[in-house]
Amino acid sequence: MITMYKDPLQSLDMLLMRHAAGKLGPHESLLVNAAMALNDTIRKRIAQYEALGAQLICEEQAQLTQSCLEQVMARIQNPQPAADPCADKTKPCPPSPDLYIPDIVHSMISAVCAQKQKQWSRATHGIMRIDLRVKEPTPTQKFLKLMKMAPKFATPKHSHTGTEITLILHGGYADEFGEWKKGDIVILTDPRFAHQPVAGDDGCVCLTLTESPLQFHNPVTRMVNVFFRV
Amino acid sequence: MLACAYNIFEAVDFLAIAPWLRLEKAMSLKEAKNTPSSGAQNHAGFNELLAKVAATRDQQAFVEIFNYYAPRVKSWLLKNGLSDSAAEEVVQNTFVTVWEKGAQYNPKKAAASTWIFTIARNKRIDALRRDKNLDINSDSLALENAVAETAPEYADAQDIERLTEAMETLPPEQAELLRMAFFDDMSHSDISSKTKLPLGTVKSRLRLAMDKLRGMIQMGGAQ
Repeated sequence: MITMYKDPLQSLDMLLMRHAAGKLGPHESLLVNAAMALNDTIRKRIAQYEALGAQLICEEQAQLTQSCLEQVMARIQNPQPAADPCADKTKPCPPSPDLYIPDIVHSMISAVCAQKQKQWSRATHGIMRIDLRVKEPTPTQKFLKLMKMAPKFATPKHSHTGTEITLILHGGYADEFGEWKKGDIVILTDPRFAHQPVAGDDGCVCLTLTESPLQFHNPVTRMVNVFFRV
Repeated sequence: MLACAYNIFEAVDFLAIAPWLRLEKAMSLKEAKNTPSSGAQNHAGFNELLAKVAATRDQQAFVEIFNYYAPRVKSWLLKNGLSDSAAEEVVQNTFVTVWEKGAQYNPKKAAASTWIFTIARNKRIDALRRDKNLDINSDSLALENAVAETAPEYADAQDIERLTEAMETLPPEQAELLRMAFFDDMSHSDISSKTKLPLGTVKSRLRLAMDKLRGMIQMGGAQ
């Protein structure tokens, strides 16, 4: 029965540590940065892993070229009024109230996504979505989207193939595994359990990263393997 | 505040690798370790030095910081697959930023080593993105200016002490795998072939190391 192997990369701490090490792709990186903005515990945890990373890298050294320090000193003594890469960027338009995205998360999304305008479109009954086109160095099979559920709305029971990572931006939802609120990250890794999220009184807006489309009404029972709440 | 639930598979799998736990004390890194950095004490010295750079624009102090950290940052960059010249460029960009942003350094929020590491990490990501012509700068995701001053302090001296302790009590092979997996940019299969360990063993040990670190962090981080 216990033949399944759980990938150790699929847990919250692994995600946070990969962030600390600078190893996340643009989709995951956006999600984790947004989580840091909303969740003190996640921010603190990442800071701890960064401290760990700093310790690890301090253990070994490489030879610098002779001129390395000289060049740095020359640059700090004659600071170039370097073009600020952010300066010429048009300011992202402020989120419209019906987006329900915290401003800071909205500006992060605007910084890394190709589209500036964001409008909800109907995904299915009771669920609206915005597909985010994250700029990425090489195309990956990762889909990042904003999802919005109406207050009290119950989604159809569904499951996922591949890992699904969800950050709640507004409101919250409850499912078979607990109640989740703004700032929580929920990681689903096992396709064998289905779940049926039910939005709270304020509805629910979340940022969701998947590796494949949702599978509604799948006859195979699905299982949630790892579940984290922060 | 932080709750996690594992399913039964997780629990059983953990038991299967639990014998490692018993080895940990016996294989403590403490005696074997002979690294230039001796943990918290060393950190404190550099924290002061960096704060001095921030406060008085002391170039001599800056050079001391450079001399200690630049070769370490470069070593990490080389292990992450950068060429020698690319690594040097990232090192330079890192330390120019350390100087320029020095005023933002707050020793209460991060150790000097952590602060410098995060700058180097972001400069590396920016260099990779620049190669691909991606118009994204890590500053646009930075929280420094966005998070209220009342935000809780970041990793503090106690955290660092606890992490150092956690690392020292990890079996050396686990600590090594952790370094390779997270900070040397090696995939699990790369690690497997380099260490000649089966892939499953690499993953089990990594997970065990993570569980232990997480335990240590949570112990101190209870709010």
